[in-house]
Amino acid sequence: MQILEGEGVTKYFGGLAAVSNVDFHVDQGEIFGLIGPNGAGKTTLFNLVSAALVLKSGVIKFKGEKISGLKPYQICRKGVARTFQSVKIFPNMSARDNVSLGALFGTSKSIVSASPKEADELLDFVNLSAMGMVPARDLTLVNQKRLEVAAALATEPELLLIDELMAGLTPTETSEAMDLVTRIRDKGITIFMIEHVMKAIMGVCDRIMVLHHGEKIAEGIPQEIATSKKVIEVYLGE
Amino acid sequence: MLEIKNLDTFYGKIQALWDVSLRIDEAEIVALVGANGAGKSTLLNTISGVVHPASGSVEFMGKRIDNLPPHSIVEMGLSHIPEGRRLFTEMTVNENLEMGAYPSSAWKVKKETSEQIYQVFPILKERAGQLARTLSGGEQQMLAMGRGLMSRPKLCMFDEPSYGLAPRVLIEVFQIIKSLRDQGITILLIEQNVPRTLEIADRAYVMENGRLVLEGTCDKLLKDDYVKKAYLGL
Repeated sequence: MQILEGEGVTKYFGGLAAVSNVDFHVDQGEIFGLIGPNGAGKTTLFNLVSAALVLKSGVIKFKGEKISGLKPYQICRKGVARTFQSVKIFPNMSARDNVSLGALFGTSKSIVSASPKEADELLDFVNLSAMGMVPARDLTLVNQKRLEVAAALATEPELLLIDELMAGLTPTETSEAMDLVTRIRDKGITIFMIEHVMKAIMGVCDRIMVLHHGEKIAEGIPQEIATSKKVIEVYLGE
Repeated sequence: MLEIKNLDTFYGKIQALWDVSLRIDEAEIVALVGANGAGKSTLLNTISGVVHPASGSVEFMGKRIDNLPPHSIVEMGLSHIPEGRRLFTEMTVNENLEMGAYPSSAWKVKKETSEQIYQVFPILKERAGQLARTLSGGEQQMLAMGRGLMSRPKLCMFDEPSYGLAPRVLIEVFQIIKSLRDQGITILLIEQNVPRTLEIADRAYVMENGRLVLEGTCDKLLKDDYVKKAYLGL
């Protein structure tokens, strides 16, 4: 089943087509990767799915229902959560409160039902259990990114959009992050992820889509993408 | 060119650097590797004067700089390209570059320097009149590098220049760093892409929990069992 579909998705910044007539779909339960050169429109596409930006034309559907046109909070409540390339956290709140806020926001819970236990479990899930009381601003960038994942998971999404979780990680830390992504999928959450770290994207994704100048230039299983002449030319190099 | 002796740096009551000593010779590429949170960025911040050490000394070209403010250190020819880009988001690409040419000697030749930077990063030339915040993440990283070079530094410190860059651009960035060294600029490089970093650097230091725990030529470190396991993921 297709959990997310886009048809003719288009966005202009002034005269520049940032995302141009892109058709795509994400199957339920898969890890779907989005790659492409810097400035290709990857984050813009995430912004369109999550309604941080408004489409110029085209349609985006979640579980068969049109979500383009909804507000960001409405999309989150439908079950689509995201993280940001440049982290968006509440810097002066503790890590645990950041996660609790996510839990409050997501579905139809009231303030009283956001239990600290739930937040602690999620912090543990992203390997931040020792950091619960630390103000989010004092976490390293990598830990802030993990915190964002925990806060997004707290909204109980069915689909999670992850924007560059692996940037700035050592090879060892990258392996841990790949493990985290796999564990999220194993919870039954579908993943749509932007990443530049090839070892990671090739290692965890079921399928990959490549954008270049806002257009889709390739889509397929990792092996097809890694050997595509076009993708090597515009993106991978060497 | 840079000599650091017994450096201790604190954030409030928390000690972030412990007895750090390090040396960089002219026209070397020296890498600093370590897990996130090890203190690498703190060391760079201490060298560039963003934070001051509690004890120890930093000498740049034979002069003590550990009590100087950052702008004086830049004027002496030491440039710091920080983690996380830190651009002037409401200024254009070209204005951001000009801001990097702050020392008066660099200001006089800013046109020429920016032309060189546009040759290295052609995409920045295309975007010269755009506000920095409208650039993609990777383009912002290139702009941060370009701005750091505008002061015409003798020693350039890069904090994760490959962060968020597409593979092809990442390869270019490493080539650029190498070519800067070939032009005589000394480089201190923090990078999480350890394999590629050890390929281009001459020597490297490994930092853990605020201390330097290993030092050596890259050939030697690449063969080190501990480095292989902890940093190369082998």
